[in-house]
Amino acid sequence: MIYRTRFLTRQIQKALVRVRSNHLAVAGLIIIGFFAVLAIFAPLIAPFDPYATDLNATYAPPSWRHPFGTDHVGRDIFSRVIHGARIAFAITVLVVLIELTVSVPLALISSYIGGTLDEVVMRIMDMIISIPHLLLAIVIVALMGPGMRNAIIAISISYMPMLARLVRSVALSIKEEPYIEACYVLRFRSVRIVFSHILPNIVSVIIVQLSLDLGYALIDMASLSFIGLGVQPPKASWGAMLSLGKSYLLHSPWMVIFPGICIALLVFGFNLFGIGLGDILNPKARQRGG
Amino acid sequence: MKKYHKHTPSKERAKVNGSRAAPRILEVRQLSASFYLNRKVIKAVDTVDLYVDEGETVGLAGESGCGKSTLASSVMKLIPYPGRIVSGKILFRGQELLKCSEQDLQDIRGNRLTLIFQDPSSYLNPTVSIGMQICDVIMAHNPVDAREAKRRTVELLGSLGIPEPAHRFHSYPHELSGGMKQRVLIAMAISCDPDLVIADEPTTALDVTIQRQILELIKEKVIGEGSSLLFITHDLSILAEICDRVYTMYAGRVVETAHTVEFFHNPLHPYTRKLLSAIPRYDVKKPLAEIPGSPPSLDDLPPGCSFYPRCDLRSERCLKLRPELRELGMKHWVSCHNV
Amino acid sequence: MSEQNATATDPALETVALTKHFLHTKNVLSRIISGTKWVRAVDGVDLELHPQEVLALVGESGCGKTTLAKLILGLLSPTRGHVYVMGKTPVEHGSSLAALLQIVFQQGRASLNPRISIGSLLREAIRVNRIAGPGQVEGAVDEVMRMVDLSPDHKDRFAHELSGGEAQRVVIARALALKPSILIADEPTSSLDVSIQARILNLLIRLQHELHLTMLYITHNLGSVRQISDRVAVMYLGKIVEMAATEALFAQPFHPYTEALFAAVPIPDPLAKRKIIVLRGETPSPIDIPSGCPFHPRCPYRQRRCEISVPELGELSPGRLVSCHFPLS
Repeated sequence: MIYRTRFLTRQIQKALVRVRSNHLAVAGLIIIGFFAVLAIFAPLIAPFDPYATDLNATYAPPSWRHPFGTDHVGRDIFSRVIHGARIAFAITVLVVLIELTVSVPLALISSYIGGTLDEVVMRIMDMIISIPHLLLAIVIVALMGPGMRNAIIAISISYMPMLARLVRSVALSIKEEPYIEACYVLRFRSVRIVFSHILPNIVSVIIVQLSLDLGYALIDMASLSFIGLGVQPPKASWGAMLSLGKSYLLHSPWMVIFPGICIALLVFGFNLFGIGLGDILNPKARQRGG
Repeated sequence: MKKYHKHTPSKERAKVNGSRAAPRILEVRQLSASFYLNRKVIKAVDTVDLYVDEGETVGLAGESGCGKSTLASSVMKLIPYPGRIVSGKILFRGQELLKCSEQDLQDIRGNRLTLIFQDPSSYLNPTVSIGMQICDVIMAHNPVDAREAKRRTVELLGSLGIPEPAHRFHSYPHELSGGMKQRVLIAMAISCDPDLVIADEPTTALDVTIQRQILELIKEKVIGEGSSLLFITHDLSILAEICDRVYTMYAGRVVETAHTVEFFHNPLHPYTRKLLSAIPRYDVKKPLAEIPGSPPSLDDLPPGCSFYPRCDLRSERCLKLRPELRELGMKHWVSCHNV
Repeated sequence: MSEQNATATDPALETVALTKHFLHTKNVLSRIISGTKWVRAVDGVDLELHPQEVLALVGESGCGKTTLAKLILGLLSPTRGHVYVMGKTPVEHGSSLAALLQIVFQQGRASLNPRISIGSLLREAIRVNRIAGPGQVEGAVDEVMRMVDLSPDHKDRFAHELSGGEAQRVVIARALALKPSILIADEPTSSLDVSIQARILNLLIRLQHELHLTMLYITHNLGSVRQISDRVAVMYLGKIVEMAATEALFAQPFHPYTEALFAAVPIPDPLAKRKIIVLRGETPSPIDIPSGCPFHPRCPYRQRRCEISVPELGELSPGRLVSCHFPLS
């Protein structure tokens, strides 16, 4: 037992070194980390209650008291932005988790078994993917009713086919590799082959896709909130803030600028991290022998 | 406007040059080439001396990682990035190749100095017919028009044993088998009647009986036509059959060289001796020699002899001092302290 | 493992008229256009391996030797004919076949999962097949690593951190971890350097003696055949064309293809006398096997009869089988 934990910590150490040396990933992590800290310590950092209205200080421009100004009902935008980070993370992480737990096993099993099951699953995925992301999400939310929970479900459904296809295509090529054939000879059962032998070789691809999906999820959620189908007021999501603020763009632009910057920055962070991770995890060009 | 190199057929050259002291076809002097990767420097070729005389067939043997392929690409000055030639001279008929302009090199490569590679699939353009690829070579170095080039190509394909050459002219590489593709590469290599052909493992990826076909073809069409040949391989048996002289390389250096009969009947370097005894022979049943350990990584070479950890003749001196090539017999050079 | 009815002289491994034909393509349209074509990978092979014997299976690419190995392992099911391992077919054995018959694949490092440490690979093989009890797995791993001259300290290494020779030894270790009595070695040395090939070959010879293994040694390297095998079978386009005891075969081959194979291999002695035989053309594709004797288009000795009738694998003298109308002698 001790032997195994020592082995694992060595593996993790090796992984961390590689991550540290990749500047893109590090930059991405710094940005993500920054927002994560905001999200975790939101109640401690935010000076005001994000729901507290102050009708005496509506449309106030940025000042010492309200660094990001106030909105149309006097709520402190700075505090709302910080709490918005919480919602942003909750959404993106949940979307990715749902996507992951449904698509990956489904694609793995379907590609391994092949035949009719594979065809059926793939055709369903094709149907979903043929409808543009956002449109599909809108339709689902419209059917289920607006709200954060339904928006999360809708977005993750619209992302499932991409991940499923990706996992399937990699799994299919791995299935043909000699080391999988060796498993048949050793009489391993299918479950073991799929999850202990094929899956580890796909993990890197999945992680890269997921880290990029974090960014896309945030944008899609913000879009949904923008048209009123996502996070509902008075919840302080950045997208909802954009939606509210768009009517007051000309005389109180701060209502829109700050949440907008946050969305852009966090998505940028996710993307940097995803790309950096892709560099680390994908096999680098191997040098030729003499 | 392309400049064409004025060209005399190799057989005639041999007659002319044989009458006076001519520079060797190829002379490599103290050549060193290394690869620069991140923080590592890989010394692939380390002060190698090698030569090929007019009409000679020379073999270069060694296992993977010994630097022989790097040596081949260095001679053509085609060493891939991040590799670089560090020092030394390469003389082709007395002409210093490392000092030549790229223009001059283009005239020499493919024309007077050609290369046959190991894996024909990687060296044939999959989108161009094989006939056109050979024509391209011919037209690049000869003042002929397309029709004449095509005629010569078809003739060449036929002489190399490709059936229905006029029809096969239009085939694409993926339509041909491994043996056929290798014939196409040989056709390209001999199309301009070269002075020197360098063959880098041309038969390794082929089946046994096809290897024999290609080997006989090389004997007939390259050696038989008067070109000199530098044959690089890990299969020493082939060298025993076709070469006049043999070199062995280990960890980037030449460790032994001699005339073929002397080399195979009286090997002196411990590595060569073990290597020869490790070859399983079908004509004789005998136990196979093993060399313990594995070849050193070329970025971390020891100060003394690179073969030290695996040698059974090793001594204190071998650890500290790198042996140089010494002549220990008639044109038999060995780099070892203890023979 | 012994069968109730098996006796000591029963073959450990037997194939009877073993045949495997693959459909050239499943695509219905091309089948309609150009007719249904079959890849006749293995075409009526009769083989027998006796306990503790080493049989070499020699042939070039496309002759069907790897397909034959897969049929024996039960990875493919035969189109016709049967495979008997210790008297039972692979299907009848089910999962217990793994502890009886194992294979060392050709691809060496590629048959090791790049994401799993070699120690874990060995552990898994042992645990899943219940070769050792729960507390003894680690010990069994150490033992099998030592058997192939690998230090158990390397357990944490991954396949890409090993040299070609070490990786091949791990593959052998994994096969032997299941304590099989029959081992198939499919080109175990082909991608390795000469000096490493010698080590692996010597290792296999030693293991075969120590563990009393029955071995099917598949290769195209004739020299190694002479060192390791008791008998040799030569395969061409899915059929066995010659089978004999090793020394007898090397002293005098009877089939023109065998003779050409010998003549094709260079000898590391510049003064050795050589008979140069260059075969015409290339090996035909197994989709388009020539009529009559499949070797006739390339045979230097062919006659009318060879184009028309298929020769049977006949016994010229005890233990010497040849499939040729005009065997050499």
